[in-house]
Amino acid sequence: MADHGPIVVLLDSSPASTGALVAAARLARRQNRDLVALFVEDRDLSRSAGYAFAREISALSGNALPFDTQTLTDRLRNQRERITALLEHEAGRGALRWRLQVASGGIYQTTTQAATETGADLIVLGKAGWSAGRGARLGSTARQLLLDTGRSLMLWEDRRRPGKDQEAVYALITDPTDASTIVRASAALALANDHPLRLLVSRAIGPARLRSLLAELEPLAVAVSTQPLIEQSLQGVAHALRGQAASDLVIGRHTAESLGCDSSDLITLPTAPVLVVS
Amino acid sequence: MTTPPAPLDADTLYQRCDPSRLPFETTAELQPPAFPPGQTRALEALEFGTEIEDGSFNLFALGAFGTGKYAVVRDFLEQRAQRDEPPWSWGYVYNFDEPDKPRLLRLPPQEGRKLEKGLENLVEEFRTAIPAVFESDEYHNRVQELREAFKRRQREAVEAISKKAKEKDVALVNTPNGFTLGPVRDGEILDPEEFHKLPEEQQETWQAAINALEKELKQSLQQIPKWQKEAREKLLALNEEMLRVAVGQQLQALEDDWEHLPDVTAFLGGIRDDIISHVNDLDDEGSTVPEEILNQYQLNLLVDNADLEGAPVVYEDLPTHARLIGRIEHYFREGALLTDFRLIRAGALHRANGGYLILHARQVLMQPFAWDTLKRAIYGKQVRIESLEQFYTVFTPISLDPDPVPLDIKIVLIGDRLLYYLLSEYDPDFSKLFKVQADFEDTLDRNPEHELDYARTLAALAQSNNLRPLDRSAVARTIEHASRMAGDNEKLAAGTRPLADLLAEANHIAGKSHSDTVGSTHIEAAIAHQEKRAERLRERAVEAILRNTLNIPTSGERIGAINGLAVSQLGNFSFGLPTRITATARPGRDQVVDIEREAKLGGNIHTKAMMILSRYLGSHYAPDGELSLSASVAFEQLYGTIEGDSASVAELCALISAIARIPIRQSLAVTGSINQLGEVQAIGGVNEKIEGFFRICRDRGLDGTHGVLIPEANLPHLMLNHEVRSAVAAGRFKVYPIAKADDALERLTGQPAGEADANGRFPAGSVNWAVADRLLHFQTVTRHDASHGEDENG
Repeated sequence: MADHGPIVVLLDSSPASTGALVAAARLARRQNRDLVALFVEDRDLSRSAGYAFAREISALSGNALPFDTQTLTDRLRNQRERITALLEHEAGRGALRWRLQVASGGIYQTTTQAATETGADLIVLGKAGWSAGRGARLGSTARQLLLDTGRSLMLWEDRRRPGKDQEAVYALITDPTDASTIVRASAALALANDHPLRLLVSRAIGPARLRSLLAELEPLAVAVSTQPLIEQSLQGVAHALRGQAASDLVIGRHTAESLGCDSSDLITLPTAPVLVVS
Repeated sequence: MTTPPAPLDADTLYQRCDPSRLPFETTAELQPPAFPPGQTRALEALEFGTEIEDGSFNLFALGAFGTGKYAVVRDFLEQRAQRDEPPWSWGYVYNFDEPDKPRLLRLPPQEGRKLEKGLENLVEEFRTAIPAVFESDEYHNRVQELREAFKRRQREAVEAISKKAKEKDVALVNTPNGFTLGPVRDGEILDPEEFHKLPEEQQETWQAAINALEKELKQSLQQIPKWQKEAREKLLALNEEMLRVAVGQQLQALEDDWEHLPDVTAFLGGIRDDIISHVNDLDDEGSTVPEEILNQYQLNLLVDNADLEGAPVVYEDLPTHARLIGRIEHYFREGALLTDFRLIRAGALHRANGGYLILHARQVLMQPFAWDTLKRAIYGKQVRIESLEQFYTVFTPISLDPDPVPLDIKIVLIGDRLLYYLLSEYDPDFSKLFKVQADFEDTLDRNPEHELDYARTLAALAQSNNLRPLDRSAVARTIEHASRMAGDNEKLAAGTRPLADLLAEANHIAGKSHSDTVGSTHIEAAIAHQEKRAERLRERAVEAILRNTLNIPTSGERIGAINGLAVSQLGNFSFGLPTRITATARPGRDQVVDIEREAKLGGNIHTKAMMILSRYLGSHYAPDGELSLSASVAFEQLYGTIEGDSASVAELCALISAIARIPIRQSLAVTGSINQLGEVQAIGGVNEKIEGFFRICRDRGLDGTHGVLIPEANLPHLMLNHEVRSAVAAGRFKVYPIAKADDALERLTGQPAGEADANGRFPAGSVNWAVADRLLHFQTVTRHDASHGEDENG
């Protein structure tokens, strides 16, 4: 993020996707970055709709609904229009360089390809797309993209209703190797969101290292506070975040590993956006 | 000839109280009396009324204004109440079954406050314990487990289909609304065009597989709402379990504390069920219980008798409907008037329940609906809070119907006698509900024992009003004044209010003269000041007499004219003044005209007195014949109404003077009523009347001829002021007692009245002879006129 490459935001018609677009647009505007809105027409879906016997089974009722190419085409057109309107609306709120890129193919492949082509170092998408409505906290695309270690990833999820406390960006620092990267990325996010930054620091980060990390932040004029992570585990993080007003959680690629848990469990822990820094 | 009555000695005009007989130096040495002196009858009635348990034996304390009824009743009840146990405390709690009918709790007197505090603590603990449980790691873990279990179930169901599909080369693809299925080759959905190129058998196999999977998917997805419901129920059960943990311990502790009161434990059980039922109403963020729910778990301690050492004695000075039976207050929220059980407020009946309530009858009757409300409460033996709006308006705000409070009370109404008798006459309920009358004496006998009790009463007044102690001379003077207030030298006025005012003023005067005690001079000065402040009208009347604007001669002799005496009452101040009575007489037919009555200025009693007087004239002077008299009597220069019979002796004397043409001494004034036999009867205000005439004579100059004739029956009432007594002692003013009309005639005319002999003839030269002679002349004239008239007519 520090080198200010473009941001790719992956869109569909899900509510999380809309939130991801707004967040990505704000970040792009604040950090003067290009925004590439990527709308992927899923090839599997298009082909499925081409079968005469194809039906859509409602996840809600289990009923079979008609499903054909025309239905899908109409839906995709509507989605594109909605996304365009949303982008124009975001652009109207301030200087924003954006473009809508519509591609067809497998979602993961198309996304990584677009990121590579545009030189993006941050991909933004909902934690779960349509599958969020069926109980999934982390969708299949997000899981796949987590494996791509070359770029930072912001997994959007609508925050819980804010409480009385002022919201803060929480940075989880458990491993000295990526501590600096996480701190800088979280500071940039905090500045972009006008939030203070709270460093959740495990014992693995010694006092000297912590001092040097704080020294790195000094020129950025961001309000920083620290909080010890008593127990270096997923439960410890859950305990530390409970009742806190976290606007975002920033973690590294190795954070889950250092906590001895699965990345998806850590990402789905807070009901808030998670930025996975590479 | 009888001897006219001799004037009274100065000593008989006043009953002194000898200070040396009082066994104390100042009232500081005296204890207040155990009971108010002279009120035995009223106290016995109070004792009876308060002892009898029947709720309809309420009391009415009746007596003249200012007799100190309230103080006596209050003191008596407070002493009586100390013998009683403190009554129950009462409170209202939320009714979980019928929220608009708050439930009544009866609690031992000391325990209302304890329960109130216990419930406050309980609510306070709920505020912290409930969020603490819901913020615990255990709770969050279990919620997480439940959610994960549901999601896993959902996911696994879809994944199982997905896996089966994969085995049959079919892919389960996410769509915005759910899923769709399609044939797969090389990890991708097969292009439909390529699919159609496949052998038909293969297509059918694939399609059959898709149809079967679709069917299975449908079945699985249709399970999801049921799983969701199960998950919700499990979450609810978990929340209930957590709530039970959070509230259970505190509630159990309270229930153990209150197991001796089933109503309280039932309420606590209600709280337990209620809070569990509100598990879905907990605030999401902090898992706190909304305040409006917690408010339902409190106690509205309506009546707290924890501090009482006996039964309550309550006086309500403004007995409105609401202040008697309590009220339900409201508050505004979003434009609506709302209420709840915490806004129920106690009335005087609640506070006095189990004890005594004192009310001034007049106040109760003056407040709209208060009298009916009071009677309804006594009849029903319960206090039911009902607002007047509910009865008398079409639209009423949301209100409550709280359980009525059982009533066990003695009510003491205080009022004057007129009110008591009016209520007895016109309100049939009154005599059923107020069966005990405590009748207060206006006066008490004056004897050494009562004088000492009186001194104790003065001591109590001085003490309670923070006044200087009275020395014995002040006590003696006050006792004398009390006799004067009673209008009787053998009685003492029973009222304490005028005394309290007098002592306060005397104390003020004593303070100005830097005296440590109140002495007789201070009392004397206070009496004089009180009189001075009130006597403006008297002064104007005296001035009018002295300037002859009002014609009241006090010297010489006149035929058919006499000075009578009248009393005027202005507030608490009464004074006497002479009035001019004149009479005329001429032949006629048995007729004495009362000019006051003809002018409609005479009252019934005065008219009756005139009739008696007329009968006396007839029977005395014409016992066997017709009274050939046409006479008239008038009160001169009197422009208001006249009432009473105390001028009938004067009227008789004026008439006799007019008939017999015998002059009357104007230096004398007369008061007294007369009966048909010519006997003089007692009248009221004798002291004021004597002093009133004395004042006029004094200002014009006393020469030894001035005096007043009073009924002999009034001698015990004489308590004349010092100035009159001094003049009498010096022989410059005289007070004559008279027993019969002839006594007055002799003193007023200076002639013997004359007693009739066996033939009914009066001795020649006597007043009565002159009257009889003139009446005979009238008869002759009347007969002549009658026969002359008959002749002319014939």
